[in-house]
Amino acid sequence: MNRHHVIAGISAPDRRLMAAGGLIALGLFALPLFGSALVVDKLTLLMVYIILAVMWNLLAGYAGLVSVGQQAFIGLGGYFVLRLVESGMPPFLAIGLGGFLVLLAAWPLSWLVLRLKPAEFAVAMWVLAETIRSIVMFDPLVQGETGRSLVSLNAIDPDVRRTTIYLMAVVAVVVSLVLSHALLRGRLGGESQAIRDDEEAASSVGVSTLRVKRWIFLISAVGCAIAGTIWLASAITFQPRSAFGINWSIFMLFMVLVGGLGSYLGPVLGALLFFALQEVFGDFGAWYLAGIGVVAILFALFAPRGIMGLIIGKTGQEPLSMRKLLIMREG
Amino acid sequence: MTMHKQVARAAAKPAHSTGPAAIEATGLVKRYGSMRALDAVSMRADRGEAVGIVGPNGAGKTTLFGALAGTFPVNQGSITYHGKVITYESAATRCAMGIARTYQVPRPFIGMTVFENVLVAARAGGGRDKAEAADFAAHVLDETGLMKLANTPAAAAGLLDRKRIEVARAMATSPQVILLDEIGGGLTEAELVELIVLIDTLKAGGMTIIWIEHILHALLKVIDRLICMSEGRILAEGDPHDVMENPAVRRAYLGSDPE
Ligand SMILES: Nc1ncnc2c1ncn2[C@@H]1O[C@H](COP(=O)(O)OP(=O)(O)OP(=O)(O)O)[C@@H](O)[C@H]1O
Ligand SMILES: [Mg+2]
Repeated sequence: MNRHHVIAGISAPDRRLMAAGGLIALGLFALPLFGSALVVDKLTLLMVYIILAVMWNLLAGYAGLVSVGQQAFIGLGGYFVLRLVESGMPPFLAIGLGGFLVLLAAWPLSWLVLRLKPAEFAVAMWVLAETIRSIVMFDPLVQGETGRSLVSLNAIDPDVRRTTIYLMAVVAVVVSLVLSHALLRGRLGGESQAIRDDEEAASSVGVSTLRVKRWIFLISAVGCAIAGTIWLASAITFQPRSAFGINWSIFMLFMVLVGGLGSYLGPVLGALLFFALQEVFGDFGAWYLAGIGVVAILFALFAPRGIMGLIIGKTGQEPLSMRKLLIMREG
Repeated sequence: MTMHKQVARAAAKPAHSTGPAAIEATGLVKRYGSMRALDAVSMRADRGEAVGIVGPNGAGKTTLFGALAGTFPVNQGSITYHGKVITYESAATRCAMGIARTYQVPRPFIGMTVFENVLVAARAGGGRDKAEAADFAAHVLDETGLMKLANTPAAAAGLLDRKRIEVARAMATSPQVILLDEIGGGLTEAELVELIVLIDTLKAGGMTIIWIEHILHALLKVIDRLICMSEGRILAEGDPHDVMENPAVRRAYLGSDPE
């Protein structure tokens, strides 16, 4: 008899969760058939939040790259779409291409920021976002603070436009979740976590730290850019102050920390909570921000590992955990 | 290569050597401010050889490992690995080539399980694919006595198990040269015996071992040659017992850390 060790496959409860996730995705795809315009618009925003939370978690939770400048890519994605559309490209094609252009822009930037120490990286990303915003504001097309509308989107029938953007958002969420699952279960997952825990030790066991960090950085930049273009398409007007706003980073931080940093499902739960809070308290203006702050403080004090930490505390295990368990197999 | 050249090369090297060393350092200098942690250090280890390094605290032993493994660049000097210059290669590249190190103060990946710690080393440094890496990591966990902790968080491991994780991670990269930094400290006599058996197994498999250790009697059971460092320099090297008898060594080493 031949005994050997393998990494355990996905557990039965996790398989059920994934099947449930698949059904939810199907439901979301079908939603425009019966959902009202308002619901579709709201859910588009929720999808944007989920993508952003997943991307920020990939960066900070798995690779230890805490960034407060991801709005650089959200804004840049929006700006590229605006530019492409103004030069005559059909808007929905431009939305797709925007993400690719951000990839091209993020690649040289990664050389600039990834060699920095963690605290320097966080600040450098913010400086980068502000710098890119200033440059974009010089573009006469953007008209400084005023911004500009995607006029050609307005020309499309509102229902078609809304449904198309929504479906793009759902596809982007599904792709983000499937891709990050594959990534984290694979070699890059282990290597990025090793870097997060101890970059020097990671390099001494053979991890090419810059290469791994660059992959994660680029994936997250493109993810944020796609979220940004979808958001712009539903908001229609590109305003540099809001597209490159630090708010985005605060939202991402909130969703991931409250959901559970470094867990697969945490950011999704965090995005849901954030979305719900916004729905309930969004009309209270400044109070809404205060409410978000209070929730963040409550979590920091009583549930520092977020909603996922609470679930693990209750059930003893993390649903959809990315842990690689060693098991023995005979035969 | 002609016969003539081979003879000439062999003659230029110490008597124990045949062909290029597994790893060789020449004139290494590492400065921290005005202090020279390494002050023109030259040393070599041959394929399958076990070399011990002793010396008082602050002698530069760990710094030498950092230089050999590529943890930081040196200010001067060169390093070769099987005759190939690696002075400017990154730590990751050197690990992939076959040089592994442990840390004196263990540095486990605390957000991962013990198995995941070893798995990442088997995949990244060892270049094994997923299935092969898992099985090999399990084999290494077995050999280092960590199997029962495989699926527990590395953060929960005590100091001794953290040292085992250091050794296991280094072994998992399938090195040809392994740099062990004070892995014996704090072990009981029985555990020391196990450790010596493990190192002997590695050596029997042809691995080159360089072992920094304050526990002399354990070290002497394994090593072929001993190097004594002090104040960034090599005080003496050669047959372990000769080195320990060397008056300069006795003054520098035994004076500060009697055993
Ligand atoms: N990162 C650093 N910055 C400044 N000085 C350093 C650094 N690392 C080591 N040193 C200094 O270099 C010298 C050599 O240190 P090293 O750790 O190599 O000694 P060692 O021989 O390993 O000692 P020990 O037996 O205590 O482990 C010491 O004086 C130490 O303080
Ligand atoms: Mg030391």
